[in-house]
Amino acid sequence: MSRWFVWLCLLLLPLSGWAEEVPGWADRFRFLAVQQGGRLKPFDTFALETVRYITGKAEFEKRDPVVTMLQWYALGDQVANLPVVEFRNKDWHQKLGLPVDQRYFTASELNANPEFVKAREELHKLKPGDKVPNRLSAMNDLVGKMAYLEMISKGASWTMVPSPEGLTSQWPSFYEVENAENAPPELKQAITAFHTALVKKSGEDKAVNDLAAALQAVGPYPDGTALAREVHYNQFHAFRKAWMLYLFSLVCLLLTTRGTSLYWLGVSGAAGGWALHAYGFYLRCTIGGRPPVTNMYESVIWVAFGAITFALIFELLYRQRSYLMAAATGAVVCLAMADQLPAVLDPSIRPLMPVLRSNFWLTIHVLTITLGYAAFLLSMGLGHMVLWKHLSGPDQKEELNALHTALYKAIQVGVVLLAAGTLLGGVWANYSWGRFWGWDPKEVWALIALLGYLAILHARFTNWIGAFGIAAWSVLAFQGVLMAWYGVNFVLGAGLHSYGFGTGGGQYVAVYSALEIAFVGFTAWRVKGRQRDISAGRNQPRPENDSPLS
Amino acid sequence: MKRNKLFKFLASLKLAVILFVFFVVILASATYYESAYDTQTAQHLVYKSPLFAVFLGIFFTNIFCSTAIRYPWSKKQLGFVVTHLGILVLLAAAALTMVGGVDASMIIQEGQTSKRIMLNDPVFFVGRPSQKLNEIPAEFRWTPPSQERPQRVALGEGVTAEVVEYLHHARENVFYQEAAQGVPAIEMRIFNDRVNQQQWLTAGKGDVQLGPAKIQLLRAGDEAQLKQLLKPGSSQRGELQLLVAGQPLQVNVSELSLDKPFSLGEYTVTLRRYLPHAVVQKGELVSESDRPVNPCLDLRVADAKGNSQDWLLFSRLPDLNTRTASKGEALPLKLLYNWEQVPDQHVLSFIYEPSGRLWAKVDAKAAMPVELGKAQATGWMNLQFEVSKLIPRAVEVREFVSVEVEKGQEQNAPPPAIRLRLLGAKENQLRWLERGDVIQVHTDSGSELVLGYAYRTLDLDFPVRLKDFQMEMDPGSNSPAAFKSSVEVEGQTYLIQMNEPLVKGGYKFFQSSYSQVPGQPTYSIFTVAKDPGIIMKYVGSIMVVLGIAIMFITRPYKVNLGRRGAAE
Repeated sequence: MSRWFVWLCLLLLPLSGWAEEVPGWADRFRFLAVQQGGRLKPFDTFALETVRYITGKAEFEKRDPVVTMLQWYALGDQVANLPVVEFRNKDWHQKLGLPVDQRYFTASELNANPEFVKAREELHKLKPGDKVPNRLSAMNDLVGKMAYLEMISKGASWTMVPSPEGLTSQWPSFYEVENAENAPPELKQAITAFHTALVKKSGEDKAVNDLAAALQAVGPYPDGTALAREVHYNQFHAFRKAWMLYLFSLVCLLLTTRGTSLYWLGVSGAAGGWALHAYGFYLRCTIGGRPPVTNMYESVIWVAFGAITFALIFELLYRQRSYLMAAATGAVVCLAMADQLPAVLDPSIRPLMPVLRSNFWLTIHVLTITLGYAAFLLSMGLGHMVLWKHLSGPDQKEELNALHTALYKAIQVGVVLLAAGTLLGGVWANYSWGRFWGWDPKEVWALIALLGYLAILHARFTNWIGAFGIAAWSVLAFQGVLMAWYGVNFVLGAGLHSYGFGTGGGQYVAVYSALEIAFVGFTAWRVKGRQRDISAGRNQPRPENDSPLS
Repeated sequence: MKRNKLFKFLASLKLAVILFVFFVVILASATYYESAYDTQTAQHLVYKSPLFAVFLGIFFTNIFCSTAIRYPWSKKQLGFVVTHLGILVLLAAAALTMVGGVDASMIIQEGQTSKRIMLNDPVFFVGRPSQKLNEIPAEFRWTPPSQERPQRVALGEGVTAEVVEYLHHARENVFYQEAAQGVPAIEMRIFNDRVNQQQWLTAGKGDVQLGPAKIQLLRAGDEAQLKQLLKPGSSQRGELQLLVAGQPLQVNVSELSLDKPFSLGEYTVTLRRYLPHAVVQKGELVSESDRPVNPCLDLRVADAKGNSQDWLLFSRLPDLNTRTASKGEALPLKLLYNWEQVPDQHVLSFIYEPSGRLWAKVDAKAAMPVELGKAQATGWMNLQFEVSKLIPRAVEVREFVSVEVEKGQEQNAPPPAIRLRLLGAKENQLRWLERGDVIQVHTDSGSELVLGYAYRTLDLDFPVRLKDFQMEMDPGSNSPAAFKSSVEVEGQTYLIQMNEPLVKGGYKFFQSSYSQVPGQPTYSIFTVAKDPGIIMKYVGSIMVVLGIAIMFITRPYKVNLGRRGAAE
C-alpha cells in the first residue's frame, strides 16, 4: 500500500524543472496584459502561444516561454541567427537541400537559401484574398513564422500598451509607441529602458517595475486577479495532473479485483483526478467567460470528463471496476493527446464567433451531445473488455455477465444523451438559424451515430445478435461517433459547423478505425469458431428473448 | 386487429434493423457528396429527392405498424409507445415543413424598405413592362443543356427560351472581334515584376484605371488633330458624356476636332471652343491660360432631323452648364462634362490614326510609335506595356466562362449564367444571361416583354425597413464580434442580431450576413423562415427523449449469453 502512495506522490511532482532559473522580474513580467487574438491575456499566455507557434513546443529548450520571449526581444536583429524556427516538411527539406532530420533553423540560413527565396517571392506575388496553392502552404506557414519572429524581436507584436479609449480599443505595441511622435515620453523611456536592461542584463528589476507602472498609467488596465488566474491556469496544468492520476488509478485497478484496498485507492485516484479535471474546467470557463464547448480541444477534454463522471457514478452504485478501467483508459488517451498534440488540438482560448455567443441552448445542446459521446467512449472501452474476455476466458460467466450489463447501461446512457442532444441541437438551430433540421453534415452524422446504436438495441430483440454481438457492434458503432465528433470537422470539412473545422491527425484516426475493425473481426472469427466446436457437441436451445415489446 | 403477413412484416423488428442500416448508408453517402461537391448537390441527390421521401415514408410505416400491432398497449410498454409515437410526430412534422415551410433570404440596403424575400429556386420572370411578372422555373444545374440537347422553356406570348448552356459559376469575359462596322480596339498588357495586367481598350468606352495610372485609347480624326495629340504636352481634356434615356454615350474630348462634327450614337457633336481656364473678361468667356483650371466646352449637339442645341459645359462647376441656343424640337438628352483631375496621376494614352498606325504617349511626353508584340517602357515604377493586338474595326463580345470554385467558397463565388436563344422574338440570336440580368424582348407579334433570370421571390404582407446596421469587432482584431440590424416594421423598431431573431406574421427574421464594402451602400442580409411543423417537432422531441428514458429506467436488462453470446 505505501508503495503505491510513493508512486502517486512521484506522479504529482512538478513535471519538468526549467533548465535555468526564472528571475523574479521575469516572473513579474508574465502578469502584464497583452491584447492579442481578440482578447486580453497575461503575457504568460502570449509567450506560451507564441513560443509554441514558432518552435512547436511551449517549453522550448526546457526554458520558461516568458524567458524565451524576453531573450528574443533582447537579441533584436540577432534573433535571425538563432536556430528556433521549427520546420518539418520532408518534401521541402529536399527541395531546399536541407538536412532531412533537422528540425530547427535560423532565419538567416533560410533567407540565404535561393529555393526558399524563390518560393517566398512566389508567395509575395499572390494578391490579398488569393488562395495559397497547396504546394506552397508549408512555405506560407514558414514565411509567416519568420515574419512573426522578426516582429517579436522588434517588439512589434508586443501589443501591451493600454489604449486610453478603453479595453476593447486597439492597443499599440512597444514598437509603435517607440516610433510614435506623440507618445508619452515617460512611457517611451520606460520601454527603451526595459529593452536596454534586457540587452545589458542588468537593472531588469527596476526596469520591469517602471515599465509596469508606466503601462498602467496610460489607460484602463485589466483586472489583476483575472490575469493572475490565467497565469495560474497555464502553470498548474490541471488536465495533465488529472490524466496522470487516471493512469495511476488504472494501474491500481488492473492489479486488483473489486473491494480490496487497492481498488479503493484506484477509485480515490480517479476521484482526485476528477476533482483536478473539474478545477481545470472551472478555471478555463472563468478565463474564457464561456462554457468549454467550442473547439476540438475543449470537447476532447469534456468527453474525458464525462466518461470519468459516469464511471465514478456507476462505480459507486455497482462497485464493478470495469467502468472505471474503461473510462480511465479513454480519459488518459484523450487528455494525453490534448496535452501532447497542440498542433492538432489547439489549446489556446480564443473568442467565439458571433453565432456561438451568449446562447443557452447552444451550451446545453453541445454539452449533452458530448456527454453522449462520453458515454459511448465508456461503452467502447467496456466493449473491448467484453471482447477480450470472450477471447481469453469465455468461461468466466459471472464476470462476463457483469461486463455485459455495464456495457449495456453505458450504451443506454449514451443513446438517451445523444438523442436528447441532437434534438436539442434542433432547438438551437431553430432558434439561431430558423430551421429545426437542415441535414447539415454534423447533424446527419450525429443521427448516423445514433442510428448505429439504435440498430444494435433493436437487433438485440431479433435473433440476429446476442450479448457478444452487442459488444462487437458497439465497438464498431463507436466509429460513427468518431466520425460525428472528429470526422465531420477534420475529414469532411463541410457544412455549417465550420467554426470547429481543423486539420491534422486524419491518418492516425484512420489507422485506429482500421485496427478496431480488424480486432472485432478477429474476435468474432475466434469466438464463432469456438461456438461451432461446441455446438457440434451438443445442441442447445436458444434462451427466450427479453423484449419490452412482448 | 387483423394481423396478416404483410402487416406483420411491416411491423417487424427485422425490417426496422434493415431500415436502420439502409438509413446509415444513405446518410453517410449524402455527407460524402456534400463534402466532395456541395450542399446543394447533396440536397438534390438525397435529402430533397423523392426517393428519400419514399424511404422516410417506409420508415414511418414501419414505426406506425410496429406500434399499432401491439395495441392495446400494456403499462410495461409505456416507454416504447411514447418514443415511437414521438418519432411519428417528428416525421409528420418534417412532412408539414416540406409542404408549407419557407426558407428564404431578404437583402435590404441601409435606409431602404423591402417586402420581398428570395427563395432558392431559379426562375425566369417574364411579363409586360410594369405589369405583374410570371415566374417560370429555370433550374438547369442537374440536367445541364448543351448545343446538341437544348432545353426549351415556354415563356408565354409565343416566346420560347432555348437554353443551350448552363454554367454554375460563370465569370464574364469581354473581348473584341473584327467586324464590318466598329470602333478601334487594342489588347495590351502593362507589367513589371509584381504587376501584370491584361486589358482590352477601346475608344469611347471610358478609361481604364490601373492603380495610380490611367490608360486610354484616343482616335485622331484628321492630320491636324493627330499632330495636336502627338506633340508633347498633356492630351488630357476630360470626357464628354451624353445621357440618352439613361444610357451614357461618351467620348474623350481630346478626340474632338474643332468645328468638325463627331457622331455619337444618333447625334453629332461639334466642338466650337475648348477653354481650359475659362474666365469672363469684358463680358466674354475666354481662356486665361492653357492650364486646366476651369475647363469649359462650347459645343453644339444635333440630331439627324436638324434639331440642335448649343451648350456651355463646365467640368468643375456643372451647375453653370448653360444652353445658349436651340433650334427645332427639344432633344431628349442630358450632357455632362467629366474631368476628374487626380493630382500626380500618370496617364498612358494610345493614339490611333485612321491610316492604322498606333502611337503611345506617356503623360505629357512626345508620342512614340507602338510596335505590336514589343515591350516598351512607361518610365514609371519600372512598368512596361506591350500591345499584342490591334483591331481597326471591332465589336465587343461578351462571353461567360466556367469558374472552378474552391470548396466552402460557394457563397462568394460568381453566380450562374445561361446561354440561350429566344425563339419567337426579334432578339433571337444566341446570348448570355447571368443570374440577376433583366433584358427587354420584342416578340414577333409586336409586344414588348421584360425577361429576367433570377430567383423566385415572395412578397411579405408587411414592408421591413432597415434603419441601421452595426458591427462590433473583437478587441485588437478584424474579426466581427457581433452584427446587428435595427429594423422598422409597421411603425415599431426592433433589433435583430445573432441568436435574437424577430418574429412577425408567422415569419422569423434572422441576422445571417451583411455586405459592407467601402464606398458602397451597406446591406444587411436576413434569413426569413417559416416552419409550420415546429410545434410538432418540439412535442415529438420531448416524447422521444422521455420515452427512451422511461424504457431504460423501467426495463432492466438481462444478459443474453445465448447462442451468439459466449459458449455456455
